[in-house]
Amino acid sequence: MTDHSHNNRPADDLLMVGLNHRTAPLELRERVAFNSSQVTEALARFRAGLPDVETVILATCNRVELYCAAPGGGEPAKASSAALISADRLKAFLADFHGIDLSQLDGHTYERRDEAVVRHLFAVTSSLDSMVLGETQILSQVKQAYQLAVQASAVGPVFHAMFQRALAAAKEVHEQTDLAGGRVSVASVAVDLVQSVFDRFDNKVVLLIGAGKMAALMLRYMAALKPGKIVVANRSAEKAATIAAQYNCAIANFSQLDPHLVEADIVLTGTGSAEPLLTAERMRGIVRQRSYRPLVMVDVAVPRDVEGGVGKLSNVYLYNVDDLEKVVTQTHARRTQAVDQSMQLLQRHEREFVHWLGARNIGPVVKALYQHCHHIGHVELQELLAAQPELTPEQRQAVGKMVHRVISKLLHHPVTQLSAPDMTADRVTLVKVMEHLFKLDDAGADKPER
Amino acid sequence: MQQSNGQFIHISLPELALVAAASACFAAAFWMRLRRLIQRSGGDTATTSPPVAMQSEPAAAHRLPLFTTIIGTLACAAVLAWRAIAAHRYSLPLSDGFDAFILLVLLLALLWLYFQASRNADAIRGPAMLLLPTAAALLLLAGGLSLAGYRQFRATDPWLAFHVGAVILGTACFAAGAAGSVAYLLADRQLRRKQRVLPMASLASLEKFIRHAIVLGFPLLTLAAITGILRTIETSRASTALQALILSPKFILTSVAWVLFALLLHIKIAPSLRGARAAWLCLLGFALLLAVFAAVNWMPHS
Repeated sequence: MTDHSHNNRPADDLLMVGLNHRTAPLELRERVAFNSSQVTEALARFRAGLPDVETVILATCNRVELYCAAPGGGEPAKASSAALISADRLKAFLADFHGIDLSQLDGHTYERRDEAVVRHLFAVTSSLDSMVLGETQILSQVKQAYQLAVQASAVGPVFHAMFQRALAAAKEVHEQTDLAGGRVSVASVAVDLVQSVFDRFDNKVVLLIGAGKMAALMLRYMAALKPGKIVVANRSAEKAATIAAQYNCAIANFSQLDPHLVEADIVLTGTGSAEPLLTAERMRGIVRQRSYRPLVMVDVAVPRDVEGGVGKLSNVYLYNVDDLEKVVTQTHARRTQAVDQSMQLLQRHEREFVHWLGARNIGPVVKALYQHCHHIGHVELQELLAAQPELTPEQRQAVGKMVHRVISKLLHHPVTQLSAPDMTADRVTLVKVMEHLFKLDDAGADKPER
Repeated sequence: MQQSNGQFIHISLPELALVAAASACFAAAFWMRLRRLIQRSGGDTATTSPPVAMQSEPAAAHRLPLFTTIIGTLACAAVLAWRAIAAHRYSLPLSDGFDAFILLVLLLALLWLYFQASRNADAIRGPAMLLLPTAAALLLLAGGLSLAGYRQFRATDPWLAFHVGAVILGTACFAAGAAGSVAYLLADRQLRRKQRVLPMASLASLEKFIRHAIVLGFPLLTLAAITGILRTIETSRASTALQALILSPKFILTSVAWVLFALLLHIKIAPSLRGARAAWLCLLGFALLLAVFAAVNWMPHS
């Protein structure tokens, strides 16, 4: 993502420290992982020291990230909180909370500041930064992290807006691009296949032939569809019994499969047989006995358990492991192609959010500027009025109105320009220049006498 | 199907222009929807159907085909209104085959609009979309056949109005069934080729859709056939009239279509016809009904 928003850099101290599957080994990620209750506890502990800092902890199996926002807002107390948060402090907190040595995190963490935090969160939420590109689970994980922080009262206006915008942007990316389209596992592709043949499963029979790892994984996915009946057949009765116990299903005699093939609607095969178990000749008779009801066959065995010719039989849909893997490969390719489009969508959201944040941060400066100028005007006006006692009350009032009108008109254009979304200059520098030129830091301490 | 005095009428240019406009609207709406679906499904690079829950579409992509179809539907209604006014009648102008075609298309367009509003739209994804090209093709057919002219019905005959009404409603059901059959064949082909070009409803849903269309259409077709025979007996007492009817192409074609649909209704008698074969038979049945339209209009002594 290009750094297009440099000129609108927010004044808030946005900071994120984290580690993920690319930067830290699994052993380390396991040690710094948070469960929900730990997140709540960590938020409470962190905010005990820095109550003005907005904090969100995003913890998934692939990443742990600590997001902080300490709005300066021109208020001294908050500004001091901003000064206190640093990447080192966040790392130290992470190490301390999990009781590990800080040095263990060395070289395994990354940090982002200001708009880079926004960019990172948007990319993470849209799963552009995930191990499996386009996976949708991260969306709910970010949502959960945000909700936990809300429940712990650790979220303020900045993170409310930022996380809500991140979730909306991710949803838009998933809806308008192919980033989350298709299936990325062989088993889920098989589930899609049966869903494209059948519309309900409570009256369907799943027959598993073999008890290999892949076949068992398929069965796990199929079981999630809640089929009416599951039957397992395997040469080793012991293995079949193990699976049957796991899924509470029936066991079939491996040497007498035909009646079960007649009954089944979905057949998963994954045996170690060197020869095809189900030949076209054998299945032709079975298809007739089934009254040509649709039959989905997923053969994950190598060498194949089901002869290729079976797929040509009427109302039989046969997929082998190559067919399924081809889909997975195509899905990955489609998702990769969708990255650029996704990033363009995210850039728009990032630009809009950073502008909102920037405009929000100039509020206190603008307020101080108006107060400062009106204070000067007020003092000068009082001196003038004291020197001109012959003026009538109406004339005094008219002069006073004129002074304030002149000040407002003088300030209107620069203030409008400062908050304009298309401003080309560095907003932060301009704000600092204004503070310096008008001595707004000093003026902030003075209360106007009006 | 019955007609009376054998007078041929020709369709006026404004009517044909409206028909062409309606056809173009349906074709455009179909194309927009198809393009959107192909884009969303990733063209021909994917395989198998997507998850049952369809992702939501941007409002503009949904509304434009909807708006275009409404315009097409209004154009069809305008043709019927035009013809009613021209004939100084204030009811549905079922006076010739052209009216029948337009009314049939109007019903299909209304069915499509109903499906768009249906909460269960995903379950009928495919046939719903194919109703639009079916409507567009029927309009083109109606326009094309007008070059040869349409034979007028005797509009005042209540038997005939009942008969033609049942024919049109029944044919609309079978047209929907035919759209479902094309969707089924496409979905079946995608599954066999292991390539997804269009996201379709499951085969089971499509099969149900076709069956429902036949269940609704079959009694109407039966009713139309019975009223047709009764009317022939009533209008022509001669026994040769009934014999001529039985030997007429329209009667033979209707009978074959009736047997086909009856068979599809009782598929358990011939289970080997299930699936793609049943879809082909349904398409054949619909084609026979279109042939009956032609026979009624142009075949002598029919």
